[in-house]
Amino acid sequence: MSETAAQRQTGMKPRPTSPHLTIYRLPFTGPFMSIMHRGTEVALAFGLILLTWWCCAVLVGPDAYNTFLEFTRSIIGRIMMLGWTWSLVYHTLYDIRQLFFDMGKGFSLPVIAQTGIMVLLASFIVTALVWLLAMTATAPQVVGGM
Amino acid sequence: MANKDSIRSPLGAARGMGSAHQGSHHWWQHKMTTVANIPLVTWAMISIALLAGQPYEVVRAWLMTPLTAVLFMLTVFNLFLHLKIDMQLVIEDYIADKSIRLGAMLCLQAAIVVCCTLSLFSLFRAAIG
Repeated sequence: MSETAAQRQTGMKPRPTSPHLTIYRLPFTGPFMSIMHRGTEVALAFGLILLTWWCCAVLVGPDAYNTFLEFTRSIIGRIMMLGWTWSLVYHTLYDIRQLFFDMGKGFSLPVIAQTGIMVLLASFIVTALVWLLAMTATAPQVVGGM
Repeated sequence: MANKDSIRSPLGAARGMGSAHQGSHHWWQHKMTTVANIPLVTWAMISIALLAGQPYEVVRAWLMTPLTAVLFMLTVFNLFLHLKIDMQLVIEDYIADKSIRLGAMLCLQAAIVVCCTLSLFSLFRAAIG
């Protein structure tokens, strides 16, 4: 129980609040995945700072770009890149699931559990595939990329 | 005189578009950026996976191709727009104190706008020069 601003103003004692997180069981495919969605959102915000760095490095020149590459090749860099890849994949897949919710589909509890597990498994599989692609594409690419 | 199709009063309909004074604009923008993100992010992630660890010249050449440059700039812009809306929701959800909320909102939106402009400018400069 903590005081609200209004309680501080009128000099009231803090009122009791009902328990929530401590007594309700949270289904894994419900609130836990939802808060993971939020968590990946915040993580991806920092990832976008990295993207800004990448863009500026491309503009500044080869030396700045090599500094960037050294960071991503370091242990910390690799862990962060893996984390960001998984965050982006999980976030996008959860967004797709949420679009179905917005259309009003898939609200029954079994379907929520099924789509939740699908999103979670798919996020790991797609992340693994993307990293496999990144690690095996070592030859310099033709100009024009994809 | 009440509109028989809605319990909303005509004055309410004329005035504020709800408590956020913007109707469902943010919600719709959120959905639009989400839908646009799906193809753009898929493409961008595969492209960056192919570009990972490549030397500077390859990356620069990739960014100079018009189609890829435009698509990548669209992706970046869409990501930042989506981020702006999502971060706004995060602040509104978790910060109740009005003055801290205003400060956080200002700092965050400013940071997002600065980073977005920096990124888009760099990409554009890299693409044309």
